[in-house]
Amino acid sequence: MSAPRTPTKSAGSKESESRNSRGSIGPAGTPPIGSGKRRSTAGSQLGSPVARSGTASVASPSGTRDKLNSATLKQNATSPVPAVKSATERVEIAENAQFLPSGIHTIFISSATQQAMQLCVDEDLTQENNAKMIDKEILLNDIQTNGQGSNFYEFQQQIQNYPENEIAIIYDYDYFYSQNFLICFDPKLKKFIENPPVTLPIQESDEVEQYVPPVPKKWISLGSEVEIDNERLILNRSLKSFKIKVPTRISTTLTPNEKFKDVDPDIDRKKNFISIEQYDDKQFDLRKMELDLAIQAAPEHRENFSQTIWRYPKNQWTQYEARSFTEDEKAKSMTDPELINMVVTSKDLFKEALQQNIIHDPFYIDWNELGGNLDGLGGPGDSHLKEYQSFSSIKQSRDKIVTCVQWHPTLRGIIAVSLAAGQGFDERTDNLSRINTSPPLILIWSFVDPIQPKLYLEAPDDIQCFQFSPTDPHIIAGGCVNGQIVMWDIKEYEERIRNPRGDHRDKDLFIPGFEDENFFQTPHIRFCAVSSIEHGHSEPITDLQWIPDHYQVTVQGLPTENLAMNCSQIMTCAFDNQVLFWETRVPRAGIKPLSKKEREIINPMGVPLTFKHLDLIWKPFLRVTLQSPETGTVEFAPRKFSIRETQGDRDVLNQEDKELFEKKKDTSLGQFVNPLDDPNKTLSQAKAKVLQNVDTFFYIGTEDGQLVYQDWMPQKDQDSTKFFTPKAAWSTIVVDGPVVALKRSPFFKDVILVAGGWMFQIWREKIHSGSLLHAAPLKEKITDVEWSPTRPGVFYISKQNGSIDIWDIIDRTHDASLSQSISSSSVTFLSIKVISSKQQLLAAGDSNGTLHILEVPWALRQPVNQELNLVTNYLERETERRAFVKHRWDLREEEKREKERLASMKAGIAPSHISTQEEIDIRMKSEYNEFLQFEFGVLREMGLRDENEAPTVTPAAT
Amino acid sequence: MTQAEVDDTLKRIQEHKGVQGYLIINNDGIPIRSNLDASLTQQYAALIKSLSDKARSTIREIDPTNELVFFRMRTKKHEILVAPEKEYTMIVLQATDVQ
Repeated sequence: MSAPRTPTKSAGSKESESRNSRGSIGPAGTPPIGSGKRRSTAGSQLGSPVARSGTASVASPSGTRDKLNSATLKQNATSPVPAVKSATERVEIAENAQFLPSGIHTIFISSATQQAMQLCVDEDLTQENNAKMIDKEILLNDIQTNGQGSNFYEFQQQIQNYPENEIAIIYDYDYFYSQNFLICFDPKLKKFIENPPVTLPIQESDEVEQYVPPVPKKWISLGSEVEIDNERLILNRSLKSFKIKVPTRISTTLTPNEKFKDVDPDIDRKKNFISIEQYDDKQFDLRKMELDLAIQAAPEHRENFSQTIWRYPKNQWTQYEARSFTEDEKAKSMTDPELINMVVTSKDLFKEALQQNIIHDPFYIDWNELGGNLDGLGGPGDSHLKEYQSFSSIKQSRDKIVTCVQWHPTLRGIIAVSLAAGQGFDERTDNLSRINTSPPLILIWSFVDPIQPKLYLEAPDDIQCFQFSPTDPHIIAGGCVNGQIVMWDIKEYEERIRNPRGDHRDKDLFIPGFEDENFFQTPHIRFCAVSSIEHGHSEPITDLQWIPDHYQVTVQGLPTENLAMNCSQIMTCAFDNQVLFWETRVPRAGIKPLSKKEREIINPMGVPLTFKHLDLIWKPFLRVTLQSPETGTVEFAPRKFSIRETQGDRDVLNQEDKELFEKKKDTSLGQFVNPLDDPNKTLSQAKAKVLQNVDTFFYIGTEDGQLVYQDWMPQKDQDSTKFFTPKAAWSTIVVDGPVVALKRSPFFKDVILVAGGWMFQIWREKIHSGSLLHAAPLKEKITDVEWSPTRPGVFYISKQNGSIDIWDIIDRTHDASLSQSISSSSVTFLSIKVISSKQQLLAAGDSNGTLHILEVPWALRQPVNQELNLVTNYLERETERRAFVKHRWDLREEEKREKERLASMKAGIAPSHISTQEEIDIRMKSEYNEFLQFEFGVLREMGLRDENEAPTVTPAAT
Repeated sequence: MTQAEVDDTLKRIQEHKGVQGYLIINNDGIPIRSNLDASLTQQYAALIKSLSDKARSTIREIDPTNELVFFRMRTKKHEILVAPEKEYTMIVLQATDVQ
């Protein structure tokens, strides 16, 4: 816009006038008062010419009016274009015109016209007084007289249309808007021009204000002084002063230990001092006289963080006493009518709430109680046993049968299997003379290595049964076919067992002298001790059990508390009519620890000496000889036994004095220590208390399928004062073959599952009238049974055809819920172990020497809702039924007796009853009556007698 | 109503099934009457009092014209019934699994 205007300016004023006026019309439409917004932007542009003009008075670009005021006193009115101004300034001036309010236009008025209209510059109009009202007529006359030569000609139309008479002409003193005058066609602006709004601020500042000291008003009280008085803090006790001391931080790092001392400079100057003399550096001779420097002032801005530890003194503990009322105060409060009122009003609320809770429990969630286990037995869920792993040693398992399977009590995934030749008696006797090159073994398997067993335990003869000591898992006791008890100590190999690696490179695990040949082989461990042949069983040991750690049995058969809380006694049974109790601990102190040399001499195989004191001289401390109650019958040949107490069950102790145990409980290591290590650990149970609650009665399952209830406590014979085992309390034949398993339910101590032959039964202790559950004989011979450890109603039955039946007495009691084939050969032993809450494994050994590990499915693991209750109720019902049956038996017995008596009476052969004369008369009379009846009947048939002539039967006189 | 009748009412409440105890406390949380043992009384008095004050103020904040009359708390072991009045508060404990 400025580029084309510059030549127009220089060409002529008329041209530029028209241009300017058109340019100023351009931004029209904005009212002058509302133009404040634009003015602020305009102000910055206006600023530069004002400053250049040199007038100090125009400092504030507050309005058009100020500009107009400031543009008055200029003298060069005669020349239309200020000669001094350069082209660029003119451009700027031309640009200024566009910021004029609409309605005001620049106009050039020549000096002749000025004189005619009395607008002479510096005479009629000055810089200060720069506006003048001119009559509309005068301007129109001027246009008429001068025509196009009139200065006002171009505004003719606007002048004619102007509503008022007078038009304001403003003198532009310094040609700010490019011409010497401005003409206003806006009546509002005209008024503004006529009456300038305020005095100039610059004039204000000139005035010196006189200081008038303020005169305080008289204070009138409105009550605030009372409030102030109330707010005032009045001390009613002296202020307490506390001294809070924050421990000063004494840091050794801040105050180093160096000590400074005075050194004489003369003594060792050369050593310690280097003197640097002062000198002038010529390099810096040239002095800097002038400096070009640029500085940019930047606002200083920094961001800082700091974390402080807030260490202020605070109360950490406050001790206070709960407030309470005395009895008097309480009584006083109790009589308070408000309290009485409270009780009255809230009584009903409480009653309602309390009753509501009784009637209906709103928080009872039906879904929870429903139990999500629709996929139980018979449901869609998988309830089959899954093969988890199987162990079979190619070398060792051949032609062997699994006789016993035991899980390691503490280590996970460790299982021991005993293998036996499985020969019959005849076969065995035939083979007796042969030298057995490979000793019978117990294999200890780890789940991490299904190929090679972790350990081989060598036994003198086939092992029928064995068990880990529950409290010292490195001790294993086994029962041999030859009637001996064998002990092993695998403490040295525990690390090896635990070690998950398959290869056994750890040298420490090996016995010295064995490294070379056995470096990568599974070590064979010799037994520590065997029992004395003469004093032990004379028949194969069929069952073996560690006596639970919470009690021990004395020589008199009394159960006493076990102060060491360690399993140390073993109970065994064999076919030789005996149940024996064995003590494993050192009988008395005084055995000298052997020196290392001695040890090597005695112990060439490197066998631990844990049970050295027992080897070959071990005798049972208590014998229970089983006798049949009826003399003359066959004595019992026990095969399995079951005692009431279970390992880990401390109920009995809880019933006894508990404190005694807690005081004396020895938390040290197991008592089975190598005597070399600790010779002082001996049997010292002097003050053990007799436990009254331990049942000395136990059940025995025999070779003939009997169930025997026996007390192990020997009785004193009145005559000979010798102790002997009492006769069996009760016995009956329950199954149709040798008892193979006698297991107590893990949930009910008194519920026993007995199996043998083709049958199994569930009995309850002391209910001897019959079994609670008696299923029909199975088609296959039962080999073993096992209760589920987590489901009270589930048990597993292994059969000779290699299948396992799963019974769920909640589901059905007449038949197995599930039958599953596990092995092609007979399953011989079952053992179940809860690995975790989500895993349960059933170990089943078969007659091929293979151990199958089966995973128990969820449905058989997870008890169904209220299962324990259901099973308890079922067993209770069955127990009641037994009681009822017994009751009926008694009734029937009585009835039978009565019947027999009547029958014999009728037959007249009652030997115990001799009839009196009267009874004979009665009998004869009744016989005569019968005869009369019969005679009448015959005669009537012959038509000799009439119906009405029936004989009068005279009742038998009494 | 006399004090004897108050005793009677309390006795009747106590006789409800599953009721384990009651206590009456004043506005300062001082137990006035209780049939629980001393330490339990002290605890319930102090803790339930502050809870009921909070509950009352909650109700008042929501609607200043409203007033807390009674509240029940269901826990795993009991239900705690509280009736806060102006001056006194009564608390009753009832076992949850009454059956």
